[in-house]
Amino acid sequence: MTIFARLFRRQRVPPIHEMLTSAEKTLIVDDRARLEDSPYFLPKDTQEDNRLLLQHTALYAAIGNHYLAPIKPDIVNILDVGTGTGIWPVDMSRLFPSAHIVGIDLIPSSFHYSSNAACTFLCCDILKGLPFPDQQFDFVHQRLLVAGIPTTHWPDVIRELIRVTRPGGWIELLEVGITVKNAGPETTRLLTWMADMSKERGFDISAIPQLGELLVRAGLQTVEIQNIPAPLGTWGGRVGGMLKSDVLSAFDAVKGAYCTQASMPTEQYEAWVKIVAEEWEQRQASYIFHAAYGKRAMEK
Amino acid sequence: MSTAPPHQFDLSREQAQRLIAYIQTYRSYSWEHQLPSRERNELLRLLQMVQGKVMSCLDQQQEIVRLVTTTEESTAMQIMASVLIAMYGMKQSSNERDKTLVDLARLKNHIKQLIPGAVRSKTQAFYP
Repeated sequence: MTIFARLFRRQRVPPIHEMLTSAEKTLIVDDRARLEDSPYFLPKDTQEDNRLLLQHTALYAAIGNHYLAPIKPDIVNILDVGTGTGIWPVDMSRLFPSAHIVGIDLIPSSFHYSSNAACTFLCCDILKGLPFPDQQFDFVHQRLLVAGIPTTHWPDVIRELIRVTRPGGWIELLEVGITVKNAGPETTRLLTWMADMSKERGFDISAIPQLGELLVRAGLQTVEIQNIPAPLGTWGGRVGGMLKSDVLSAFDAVKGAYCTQASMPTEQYEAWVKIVAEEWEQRQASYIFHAAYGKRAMEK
Repeated sequence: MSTAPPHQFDLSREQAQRLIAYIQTYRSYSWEHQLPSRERNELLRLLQMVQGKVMSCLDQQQEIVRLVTTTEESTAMQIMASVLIAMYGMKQSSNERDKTLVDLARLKNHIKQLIPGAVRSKTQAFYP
């Protein structure tokens, strides 16, 4: 691409401004840094960044692509909400070389990549609204924000995602709840307990499978809902091994928050998770990822 | 990627809608019953592309949907049709099932005529 083409493409991005959130302040709980003024209760540290990078690779292998909606190859503007390290926009820019991809997340220290001609990274809190004009993007993607969006906020978040999507454009959500295929009794018990802990914090993760219905109720068209099992454990080969590592790291990430909340010694939690992980291998368990994607209606 | 010329399918809008439904059904089936593998994922991506193309054609509101596919995408559709024929074949006989089987067989044969040397899919590992 020539320098002029790069400049032109830069100028084609509408005027969007950086918004620094107040969520730069972190709190140390169980040796992990968490955001102080945000309902988001996963850590924001190097260990979590590494988990997110592994998760990105594992998910691609498990579900087969970085995105699931049947979008056209010539789309121009893509938004990734809750971009974390920014690896999704970077990999998508290779699949869609003509597109410009905006990745947003709560704090700039999450970003592993700098903004360039293909990708722009911004600090933004989806719970406070998106700093973009209406009908800006051809494809809006949001993945695994189950720990960042309180249950009562989901309809508002979906409304905001739709607002910034152009008519005919696609919106895609990918989430996990507490559904595990071939779950054993300890897995069921642990996930139920985690759901109870999350509910006390305002996150009803057992409601995640209904997200597709929220898209339908919000007026999206041709909504597809897919419940995708992904193997947990080495029984599922390399992919299963990666996902098991990812989920165990995620369980470790919430350990401090949940154990403090439940007054449970961390050793007890760790022993429980160890039993659960053994169950996954014995029973050949699979975590269900809930995907839902649909089109914003064309204007009449 | 093959350098063979693309294939062109002319579909009615109804046929295009059915093709989308077949792709959706296959993707669900594949995720549910096949362990992740490079081959499985490649097939899924190809069918996702085809679905996008079909939906894009439908958006143009023409009576005839002109679908242009690569050899790889056509082969993916042929494999999809074979798997769905086997899947529906195991269901209890009904008018709807029988109509679907006939439709899938027609689709498979149509593609076969376009790509006579189509690659057969290897057996893939199944979930317990």
